[in-house]
Amino acid sequence: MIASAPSPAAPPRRPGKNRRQRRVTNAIATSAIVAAGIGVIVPLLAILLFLLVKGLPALNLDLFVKNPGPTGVAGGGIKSSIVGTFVLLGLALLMGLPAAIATGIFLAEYGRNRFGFVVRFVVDVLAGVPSITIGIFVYTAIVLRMGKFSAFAGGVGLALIMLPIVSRVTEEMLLLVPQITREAAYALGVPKWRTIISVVLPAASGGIMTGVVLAAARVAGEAAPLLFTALGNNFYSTSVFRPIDALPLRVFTYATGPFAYQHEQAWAGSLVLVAMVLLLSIGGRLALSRRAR
Amino acid sequence: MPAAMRTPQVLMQVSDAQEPRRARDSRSILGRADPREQAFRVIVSAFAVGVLLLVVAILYELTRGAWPAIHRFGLPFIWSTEWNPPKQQFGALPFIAGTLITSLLALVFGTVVGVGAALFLVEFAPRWIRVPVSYMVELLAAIPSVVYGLWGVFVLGPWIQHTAGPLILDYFSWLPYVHGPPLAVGIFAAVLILTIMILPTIVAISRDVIAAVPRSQREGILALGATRWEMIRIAVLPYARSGVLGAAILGLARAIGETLAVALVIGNNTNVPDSIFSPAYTMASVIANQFREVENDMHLAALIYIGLLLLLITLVVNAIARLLVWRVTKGQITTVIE
Amino acid sequence: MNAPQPRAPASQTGAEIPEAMIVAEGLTARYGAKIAIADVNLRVATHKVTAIIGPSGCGKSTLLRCLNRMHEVVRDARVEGRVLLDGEDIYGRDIDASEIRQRVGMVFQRPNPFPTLSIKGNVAAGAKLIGHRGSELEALIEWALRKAGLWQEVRDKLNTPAIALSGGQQQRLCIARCIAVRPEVLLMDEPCSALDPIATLVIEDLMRELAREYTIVIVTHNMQQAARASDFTAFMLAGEDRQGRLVEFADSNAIFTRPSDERTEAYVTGRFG
Repeated sequence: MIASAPSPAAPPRRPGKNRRQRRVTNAIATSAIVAAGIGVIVPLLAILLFLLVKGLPALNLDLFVKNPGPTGVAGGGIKSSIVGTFVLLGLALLMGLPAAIATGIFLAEYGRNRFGFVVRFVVDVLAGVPSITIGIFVYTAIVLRMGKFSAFAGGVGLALIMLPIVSRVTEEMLLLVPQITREAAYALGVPKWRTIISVVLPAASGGIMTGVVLAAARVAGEAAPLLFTALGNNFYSTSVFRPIDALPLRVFTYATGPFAYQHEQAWAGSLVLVAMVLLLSIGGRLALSRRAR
Repeated sequence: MPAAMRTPQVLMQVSDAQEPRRARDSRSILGRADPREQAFRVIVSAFAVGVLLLVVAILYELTRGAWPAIHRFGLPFIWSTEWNPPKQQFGALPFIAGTLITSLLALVFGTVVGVGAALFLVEFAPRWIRVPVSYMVELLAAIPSVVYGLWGVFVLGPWIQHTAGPLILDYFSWLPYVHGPPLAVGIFAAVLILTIMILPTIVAISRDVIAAVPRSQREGILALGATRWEMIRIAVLPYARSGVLGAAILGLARAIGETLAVALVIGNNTNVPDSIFSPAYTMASVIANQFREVENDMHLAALIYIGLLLLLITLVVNAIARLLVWRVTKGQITTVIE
Repeated sequence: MNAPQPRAPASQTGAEIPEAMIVAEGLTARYGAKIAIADVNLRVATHKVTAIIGPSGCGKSTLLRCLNRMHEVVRDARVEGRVLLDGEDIYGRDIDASEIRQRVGMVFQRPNPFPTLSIKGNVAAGAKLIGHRGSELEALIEWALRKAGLWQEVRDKLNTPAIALSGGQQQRLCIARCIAVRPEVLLMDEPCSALDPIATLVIEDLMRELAREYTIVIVTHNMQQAARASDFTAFMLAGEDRQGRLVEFADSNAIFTRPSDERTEAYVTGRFG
């Protein structure tokens, strides 16, 4: 039996007079929430819309085959910027990928301990460093020491941005490979290093590639670390040790320029850039979801 | 989808998967240490150590580059307002103020709209709405900063100047800090752009956190006669509090470091802003705009000093965010009593 | 008082229910395309305890959840038929579901106190919604906790987290929380299945006390509990089409000692389920 004192008199029943008010509050809150839900995609649609409306008309063949003319003279193109973006991307991948994948391997295979925890933490810290700060770092560490701006410095900056992303993705993908796969190799007498290279890494390669593609998409759009490393260039150049232009840099320069042709080309360039980035991003995510199934 | 790829800019802690068992150690059958195993391990560890050294190097180089300014102005740099390159007088307050004002306002707006959108996606939207809208919000995150800036200059700016600005001045100029001509560039434009840019972060994380609130909690409050909104405000949001806060602060970190979009719409004014329509500067955008045209060595050092401060602020904010989100993803719920 | 109660159709054996707080007529509930319960007719006697028993998957919980419109909370869930609460169809066109749920309260299988609220906060959660405030609210909280037999154990720690209580205490807290909004009916969905035997007995005693003031419907897979604690019992079974149906409904004595249907007999004698 429950030990209970005699119950006091029951409080009166409330007839629920405030139900109407509660219903009204509910309706208002619901509307606000639905508005937020719809409102959230409005900016995306607006940006894409204007990109198309303003960028498409300015899109022509000249854009892709000509370099910028002298400042103030219309009719040039942004070939140097597009090529420059690819060069920088290539440099960034060349310098950043090996380091990132090696770090990812370390974290997954040799880093399940306190030291690994520290490294993982530091990698996450690196991910949080603003890209402009990365730019300053590369400026003081490389540009000043080399005495000049260069595509190489720009590539280093982009590689530093790519590094934490690809490292963590590599780690995650390697961890997804079932332990049984490794043990099967060990049981056959394959040493650990060989197992990683020949068995585990290939198994995770699809996911890692996707991660690299997504990181490349991110990095292709970055201009902050390039402002005072690659610097930008009005002339066509693919030389690694000279300043080089990039698409986001050119858009940035043209956006603040005084000439109409610059604005038009900024829109066109943005369209090309966004198309590139979205293709890479969507492609990457599609590949990822297919993999997840 | 693995955490690291949901939004490339957002890295969250990987939940510890199974522990790869220690391989039989590097001895071969004959009992001698395998030199190739050792070499591999050393190489891979070297890269890991390299990352550690890298971060140290960043802090070192920044401090070294900023040293002339640190030595000359010390800590008062942070609250001094004079920014005069020819006279070599530098103070960072206008930029710190600009960063804080724009980021915090973007945080507030972004959280309100972002959590609202997340609630919409989880509580109201049927599948055929939820999936595409979630996807589109994530695509927003992929758009480069400079494109936001371009759109801000040519679309948002004029809209503020001709439509939104006058409207706000008509209704809200009784508030402090709301006055002045509604310029196309300035704090307000930057806040709007930043809000849009941090929405994907906040929506994505909040959506997951809200969806994770157990059904039993929702049913518990519904069974007491609650309306849907009452269910959200009593059972869902308090439960999801930590995670949503973490999402918001991650958004804040993103806003603080945002450079190019802000640089294009902030108006480039080295005075502390006194109205939401004032042109201003943020720490990141002043570096971007002035770095290539420094007038003297002290100017450069001062800019690097600002870069160092920016880095420190970002690190702290990121750490706080990580702590909050980590607590939720580890399954712990705060049991704070109101 | 109310509209005249329709008499139970001839297919309902046994019970002559004088006063029925809840009457289900032709109740069918679906999850999407799948029919969970089909054509259930049930009379729940006022101020009595009605138990619903049956093997797993027979639709007992679904039936219960239809009585306070919790079934439709799940996506794609639908209900056909009528459920009369005090003569009025709760599925009527202009009826506010949340109002029904305040009049017909529910206690769940696993205690679900709100972890961010204190003991006091939990009990007050629903009561505040209907407008109770201040000292009236305080009195209501104490009354509800006393009624749930929890007052003595928590009176000194009302502001501590509710999830710090034991399982049995949490369930009593949930009952107190329910009672605080002054419902007319209490639905209990296997309220003791997550509790130890002692806590179970405490809750059963509590139920009998509460029945004096409330109408109680309890779903249970524990037949001894149904036999002990209920006045009327409904036996449900899912046919080969996986649709749950009401097989027999009578006063508990009859169901457990001389059931009319052979399927009922097979179940209560433990031959299956």
